[in-house]
Amino acid sequence: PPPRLIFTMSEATQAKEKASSSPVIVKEKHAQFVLNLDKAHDTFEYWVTEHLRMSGIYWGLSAMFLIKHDDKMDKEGIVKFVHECQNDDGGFGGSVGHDSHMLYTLSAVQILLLCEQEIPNKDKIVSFVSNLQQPNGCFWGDKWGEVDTRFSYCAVSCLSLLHRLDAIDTEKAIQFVLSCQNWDGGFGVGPGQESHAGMIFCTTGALSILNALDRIDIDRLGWWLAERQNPDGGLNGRPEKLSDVCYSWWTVSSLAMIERLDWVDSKKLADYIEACQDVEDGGFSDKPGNMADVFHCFFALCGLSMMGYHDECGLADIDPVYAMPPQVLRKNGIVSHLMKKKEEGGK
Amino acid sequence: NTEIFSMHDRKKLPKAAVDAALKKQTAEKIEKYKALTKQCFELRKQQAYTADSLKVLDKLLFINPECYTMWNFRREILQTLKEGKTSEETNKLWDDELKYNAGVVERRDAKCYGVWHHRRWVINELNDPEVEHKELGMCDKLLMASDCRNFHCWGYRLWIVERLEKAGKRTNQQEKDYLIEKVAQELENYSAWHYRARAIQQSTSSEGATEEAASEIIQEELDTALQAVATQITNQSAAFYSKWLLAKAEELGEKEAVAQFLDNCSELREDADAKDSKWLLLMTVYSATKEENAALRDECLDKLCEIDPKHVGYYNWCKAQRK
Repeated sequence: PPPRLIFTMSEATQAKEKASSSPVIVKEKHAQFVLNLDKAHDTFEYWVTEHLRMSGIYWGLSAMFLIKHDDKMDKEGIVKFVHECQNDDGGFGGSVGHDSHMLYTLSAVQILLLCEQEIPNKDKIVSFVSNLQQPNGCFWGDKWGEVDTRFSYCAVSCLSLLHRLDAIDTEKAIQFVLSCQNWDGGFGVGPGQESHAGMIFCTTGALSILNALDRIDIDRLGWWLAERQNPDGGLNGRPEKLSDVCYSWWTVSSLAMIERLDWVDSKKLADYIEACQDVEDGGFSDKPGNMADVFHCFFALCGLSMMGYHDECGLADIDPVYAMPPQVLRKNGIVSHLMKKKEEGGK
Repeated sequence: NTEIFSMHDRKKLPKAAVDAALKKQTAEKIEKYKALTKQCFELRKQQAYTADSLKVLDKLLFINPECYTMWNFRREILQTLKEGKTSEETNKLWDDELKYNAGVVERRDAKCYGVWHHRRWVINELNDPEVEHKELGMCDKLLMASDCRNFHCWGYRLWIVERLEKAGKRTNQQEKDYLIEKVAQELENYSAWHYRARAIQQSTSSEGATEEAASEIIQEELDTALQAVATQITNQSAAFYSKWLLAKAEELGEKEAVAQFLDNCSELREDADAKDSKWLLLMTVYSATKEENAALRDECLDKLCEIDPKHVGYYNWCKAQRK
């Protein structure tokens, strides 16, 4: 006969077991990682990414908000830099002396709101963005005419943050985005282009802000997004691709926006994200064992927060639509449809 | 010696590997790059829209094609250089530019938005269907040699195809033929399946397309999807493609085609190795639409919950759906 069970796990061990199943996030290391970025002048990487510094700062600052260390950032210095990047046309370049572009104009506005600053030359920013809308509703990245659904998101988000959506033709903007929905439910760079989780975030986000999410095939999109989860628990951006931790943002935020987060396994994803953590030097890499960078660091932390690990890991909230802290949005009179739902649900 | 810089797929090196020699090399590389960048921005400030400036930009943009402001400068130079030129001279200007751009794509970075955008800009300036035809060859060469999933290349290719189709220089059938060839080369090329779906959508919704013709096309495609999964049981593209086709078949009232598809799936599942393949199970679920198939559908969904537990949320949602 089997031995009679005489042991039970002590309460302390039970608690330890439960706690160890949550990802352990070395927040202090990540804070130091982000702070060190500005000092990395001896790396080639620092110089060849100068053109996107505005976005780099947004990723770093936002990561610090997530790990609740944003008070350590040199916000004064950051704001000064942002102001120096604004051009005569009202738009912002990726760094000082760079031409205005839709991507960096959104990042600039986001940074200023995060740093609780006034928006300089607001009307000119609105003109810059709204003048880039084309007759079919799409948006150019700048005067050189590149069309991309990313720019639809940037324009709509930027103008929404400035309370100036009246400056564009929102119905045409919606129609253009809808024209990019594919046979598989996803969205690509433009009409007819292959579905990609990054572009899905942009289109879903734009439609959410414009209150038009009910005009897409949510269930079809939901399954396509759910299938981004690989056997290793991580997410990819398209079928048959390898996992990359940045999809913890693009794919998860999209699923959150269409309220299908339960169609993926959060625990397995959280484990994958944890495996991408650099516990020695801080930051997160795209895949376990690779070099960390601020882009993947921010998105990894976002993924954990959005999937409900914020309390367990001591992370702040982030809104999946605007990719910003809800309290910053609320302070500026902005409420995403998810924030609205949360408030109504009394969560 | 310029390594491609990308934020993805960089292995973390142990600290000892970053030695003094490497540090010195990096410092020199940085100085060179900073000097080159400074020179380019200076030239622009001076409004030096000359062929000599282009040569300096050639170097910078090859090192860092992501430097979008310098592609803007490049276009400003080209706009100036094309002024007052004969058509032969401007053709050479654009031809050289396409060659330079192709060099950046093929030898430096095939996945940079700015590089492909510049190429479109040049093609737009040229506006020559003969040249556009050649672009198809360039795209296919890249897809074959480098990465058959490069969405920048596929997107650019689509733009070229649409221009040619609009000008009456290419047919929808030619596109379908090309894409089935790509699928045959690589069954798991979701990009090829995507563009095939687009071509099918075009032919089933074009002017003069009858419902009978559309039904025939859909049935042919359903067979293609089955063949793909029969050849490669792990093929997920076929499952996504089937889901769409089956929905279309239902729309067209083709219940027979859907029932036939279900029978074919069941037949494939008679093989022990294939019986519990995730994609085949899903294809069965998507075609088991009749009330009489409800038990089979639930059985497959239960099996899916077992073999693919991370998607239990979706499978339970499917079970709760009742057409």
